[in-house]
Amino acid sequence: MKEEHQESKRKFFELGIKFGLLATAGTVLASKVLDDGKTSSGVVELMSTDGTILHVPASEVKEVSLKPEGYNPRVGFPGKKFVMVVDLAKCKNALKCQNACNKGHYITGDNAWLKVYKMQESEKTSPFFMPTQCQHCDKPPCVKVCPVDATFKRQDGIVLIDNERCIGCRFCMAACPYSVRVFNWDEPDQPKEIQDKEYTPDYCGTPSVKGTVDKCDFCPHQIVKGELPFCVKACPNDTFAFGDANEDTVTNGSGQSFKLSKLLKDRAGHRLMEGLGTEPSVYYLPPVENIGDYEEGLKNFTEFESVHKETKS
Amino acid sequence: MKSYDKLVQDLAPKEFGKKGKIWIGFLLFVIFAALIAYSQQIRKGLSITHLNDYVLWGVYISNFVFFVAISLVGSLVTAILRLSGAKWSTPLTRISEVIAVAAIIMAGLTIIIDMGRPERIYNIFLHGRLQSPIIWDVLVISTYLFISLMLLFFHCFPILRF
Repeated sequence: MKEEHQESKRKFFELGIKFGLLATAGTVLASKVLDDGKTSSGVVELMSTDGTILHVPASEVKEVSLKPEGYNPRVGFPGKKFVMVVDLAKCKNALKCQNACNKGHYITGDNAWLKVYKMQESEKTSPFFMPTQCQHCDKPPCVKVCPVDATFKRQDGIVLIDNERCIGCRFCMAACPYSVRVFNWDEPDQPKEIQDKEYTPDYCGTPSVKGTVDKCDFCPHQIVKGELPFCVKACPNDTFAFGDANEDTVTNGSGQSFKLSKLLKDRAGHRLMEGLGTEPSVYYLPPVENIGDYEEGLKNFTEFESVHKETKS
Repeated sequence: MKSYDKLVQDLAPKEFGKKGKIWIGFLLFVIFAALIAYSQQIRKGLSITHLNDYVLWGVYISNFVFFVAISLVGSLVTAILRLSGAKWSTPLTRISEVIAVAAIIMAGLTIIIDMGRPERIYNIFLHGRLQSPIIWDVLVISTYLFISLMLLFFHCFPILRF
């Protein structure tokens, strides 16, 4: 009787200790898993916009999503001001930008959103190529004349079109001094899966709507994915650089980053038709010491037919 | 006094003869053909008008300005003849005011024909913005149409007065 009692007592203690150990281990493990990232004592190195390296405890670093809860395509991404820099010295008229844009936005009309013009300032200076797309003006004339508020300016600097509201009066095309807007004269001949996509102004041209206006959308659909716009990525000569003016940085296709203000100052950056007061978001660097052979680029040049159409048999 | 009687005789409504019927038939044919053409434009898109040409892109708009001008001239003729107070001119004022009303209706229709998406015209009233000159057009034309109709009914056709 006494021995049995002793036995059960020992068993009780044994079990208790086992459970206790398990519970302690479990708590420690759970707290490790749950608090991961909060209590880790690592240090993250960050670079501020003026180039100084900052050490920030990893616990203080939080990833911020570009698309906040309740994102409205008419309002745009908070705290951003997107800009593009086009280095005219580097453009060889390879037209990779145009092809990538046409492909990415499923452009089926007659006119591409990105056009490359051949330019010559005067008889004595050398000719060069100039890619143009929507300049995303801070004071856009197209937005001012739209009768139904179908085209609008967002807080992140992008000018977009709501193709589900546009009445197709083409007044914005007449107002735009850069002639970058294109009209869908025909029923767009897009693939079936694109036509069935849900429409959003954020991804212009998917699907295109007959009888409305389209133009370069600065690729917010790519920015959300953390990628550069189609043209910037496709250019083999790093002609384009894209970035955020609030961060004062632009990045080109091969991943090099520049300080925007310094780049514009050093290379005498300017904007198109500055005298009109439209204040575009696209900056151009003058074509000094052109790297490309002008004659070579001329082979690709076409006055029209900026959208490659597959010949139907 | 003899020449005055002759003037009134000349301006008085004439009998609607065979020539007039042929003319009206021809005009109805033109209207019918235009309706077919417009239905094609709705179905296939504005590209069949070839307005994407750099020269022709503004043809509809110049047509609009043309109709507005005709309408204004019609009202001007009415006004001058009314103000001069000549009794004999009543048939002329009727003709010019009817032309003015018809032309301003046509001008409004031309703008709708020019639009790529005419079925969304209600957006002008839902989301209209006063800073756009297109809205000014809408305001001016509707006001002008209203005034023209008032002129037509209350001055040119006294019979229709309430």
